[in-house]
Amino acid sequence: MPVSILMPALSPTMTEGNVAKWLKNVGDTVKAGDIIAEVETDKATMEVESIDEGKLAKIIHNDGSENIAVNSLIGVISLEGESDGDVEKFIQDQNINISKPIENIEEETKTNIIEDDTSNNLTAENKEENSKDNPELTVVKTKNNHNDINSVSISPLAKRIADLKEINVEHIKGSGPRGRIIKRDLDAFLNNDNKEVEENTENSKLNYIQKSSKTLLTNIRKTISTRLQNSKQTIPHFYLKTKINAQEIIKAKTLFNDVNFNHKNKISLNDIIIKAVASALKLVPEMNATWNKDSIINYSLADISIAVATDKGLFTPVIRSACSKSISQISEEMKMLITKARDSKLLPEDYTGGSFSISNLGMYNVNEFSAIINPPQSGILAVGEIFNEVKLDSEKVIEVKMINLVLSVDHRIADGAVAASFLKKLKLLLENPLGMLV
Amino acid sequence: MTKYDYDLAIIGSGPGGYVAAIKASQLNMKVLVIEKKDLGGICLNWGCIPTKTLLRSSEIYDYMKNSSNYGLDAKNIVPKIADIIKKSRKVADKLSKGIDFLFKKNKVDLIYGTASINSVKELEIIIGSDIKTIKAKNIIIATGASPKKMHFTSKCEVWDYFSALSPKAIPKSIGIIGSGAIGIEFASFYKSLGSDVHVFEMQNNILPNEDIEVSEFLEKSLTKRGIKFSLNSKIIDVQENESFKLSCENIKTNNIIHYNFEKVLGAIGIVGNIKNLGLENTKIKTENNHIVTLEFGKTHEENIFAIGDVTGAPWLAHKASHEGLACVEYLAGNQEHKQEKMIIPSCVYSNPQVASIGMTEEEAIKLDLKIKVGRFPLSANGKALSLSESEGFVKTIFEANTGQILGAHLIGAEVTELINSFSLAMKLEATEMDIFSTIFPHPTISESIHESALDAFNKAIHI
Repeated sequence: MPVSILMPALSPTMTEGNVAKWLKNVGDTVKAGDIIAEVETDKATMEVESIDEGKLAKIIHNDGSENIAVNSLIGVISLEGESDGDVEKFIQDQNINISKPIENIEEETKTNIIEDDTSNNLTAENKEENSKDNPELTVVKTKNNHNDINSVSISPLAKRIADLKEINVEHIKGSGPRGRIIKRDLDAFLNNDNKEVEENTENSKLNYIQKSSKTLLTNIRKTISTRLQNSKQTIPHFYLKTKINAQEIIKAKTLFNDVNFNHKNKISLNDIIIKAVASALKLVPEMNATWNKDSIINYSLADISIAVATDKGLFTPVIRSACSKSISQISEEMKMLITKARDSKLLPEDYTGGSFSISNLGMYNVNEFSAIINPPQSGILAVGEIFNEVKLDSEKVIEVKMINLVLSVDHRIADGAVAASFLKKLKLLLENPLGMLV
Repeated sequence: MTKYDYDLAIIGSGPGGYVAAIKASQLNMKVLVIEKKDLGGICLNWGCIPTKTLLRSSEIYDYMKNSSNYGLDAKNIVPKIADIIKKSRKVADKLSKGIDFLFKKNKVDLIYGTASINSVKELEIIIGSDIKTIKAKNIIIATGASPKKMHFTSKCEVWDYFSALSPKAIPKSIGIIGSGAIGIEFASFYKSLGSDVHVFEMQNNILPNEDIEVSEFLEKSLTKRGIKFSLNSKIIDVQENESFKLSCENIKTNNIIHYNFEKVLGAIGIVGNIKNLGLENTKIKTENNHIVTLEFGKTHEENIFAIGDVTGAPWLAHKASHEGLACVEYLAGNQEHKQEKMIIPSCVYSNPQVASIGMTEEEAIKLDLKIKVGRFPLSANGKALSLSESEGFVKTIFEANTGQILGAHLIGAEVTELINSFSLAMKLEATEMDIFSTIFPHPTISESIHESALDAFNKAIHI
């Protein structure tokens, strides 16, 4: 029997993905372990490996196909001796018994029905004809392509432009015959209806022309927006602020780097903060938790997510068991994860899980800020820049380097006192880094 | 509430007016058309149609003269100009009657007369010695255009296309001023019938709006047939005695040369028919003898529209019809979107024919577009060879990244019947891939379209 290539579920939150690129052509021989395609998810680009030996018999979703439901058939490998007919039959069977991730099955089916209804209305006659002449084709179309660009009425030129400019055409309203998306719709989209903006300006009698541009959300952006909106709107955040004396960790950093001279990676303050947070979480285990609707899950080890900014958006790779790793280990791992994030190469195991996050905007000279919790985690620590503060020390005026910390906490998981004791421990560790050795 | 006699009154029954009228009636409007003279306008009576009839006669005459090319031996073939003209009038009359029939069938009212708009936006129609006043909810001005008059030091009867369409005899020699479509078609016609033809053009290439490669190819081809060309030539004067003395100056060398011709045809363009329409009673703006229009033929006066030649270049019948349809659809409320930019093909029925659509290579380069250009010579096309019509080529211009078809420029036998492939492809926003994967029937000249597109991407099979 031919082997299906399915859209993989790369993370628990992933419901759909894009086919970035096929690395094999139809007809190419594939061996087990060969990389057949690259799949783009809401977080990263991922390679799809073949587990069987055979021939790539069919590509169902071409390069650049977007928003394909997890576990949808994206291609088929035929084994030795199998004909095109076998493959077609297999595809037909697959589509009838299409398997969906359990938690999504209801929602997906609903979308299917709704979308099929509309397309049926539009081309009811064609569909009927099709189903008589070529039942296989219809099955594939109605079941599989519900989110595929092919089901959108779009001119070849407009489709090409959309592909080149990576525009998601799903929400663009076509102005061509029967709502077909034509080039000018994309031009208008790319110019963000400049005219409209200009007209408005004219109305308000301003003497300048305002121009703006519109960018459709990438999958990554979509995920960030839904997750964070959900977080800010549903999680009862509360914030605890403190200021730490950073003299000791700065000293420690220099010392660690001196001791660590044969390592290529330089340890950063951030690496030390990760270690301190992990140690503090060990000391206040109530904070090392995630929210689970009707329960709280506590963890024995501290897996810490670190906010990493990239061109494509915010990523939160996880340092696993940071509490039991040395600072130099954390540092090395961190540098690797940052590189992966910037190259969109993060794997699900790199970014899933984590019970607590750290976001550091010190390098942007942000003095203090409050971060949004990365659900379902218990909290997030916002780290500001190092700044000088003047202090009196035995009647002498001295300058001390300080850092502002703001802790955002999910009140459903932890009350103020728990969070405060966590912050107190953290402050203690950061001001006395030796304590981390315990 | 104002009571209207008509939902729509259309001044002029040319290809803009009559098509708009029929469409409006189909959309349940009560429609009146006012025609000054010939039903069907210039196109049908004095333009597109009769010229094609004449050119067909000259084409067949050419074939017969070259009968040996086809293994035939035809002797003593004599063109009878009176019969050729008669044939062209017959076709024009037949089509004109056809419009009369279509108007009756679609219940479009027709008045022969001249209409003008008065101060209260009514139409005053002069019918013989009567004046009739009509109130219409909307008015479309589709009055077309007339040949641009040339002025000389002394009075002389230079031909315009009306005269060139109904000559009493074939002139021994003819000087043609202007090398646009009209000038070139008459040059081709009169040359075939045996006239000594000399074309004068102010620009440095003939058919100045066409792609330079096509223009140069046509010039060579027509020169081979014996037509003389004076480019960069400005007409200083024409004097009429027994014959016409034409003086022209080469604007590059400033040389002045005099020529003698039996006839001179002025084909330097046309001007919109905007006079005596009462436009001064409206807010309608005009520019260079043409009515200024916005989308869907809107003028600056509410409820008055203008379509076709009276609104300016390109002066093409199919543009007028298209504008008429778009305008009426708009009036019927069927246009929810802004009017799409028109992609207007143009055809010249010389021998060889020229057909083009979209941008020339020069225009594309001027716009800084990254382009791919394909060319396929008809000498490599089986059907063209079988027809002994291997002269010409198909040139295609694509945007390099998107594969958008920017333009197509064809010259050769029957290319005016091929250009519609590009009209469709461009309207449907096809890319090079769509042309690649289209099956063109063999053997036809249309295969050159496929090959030309392939060539643009270095994939041609037959060259």
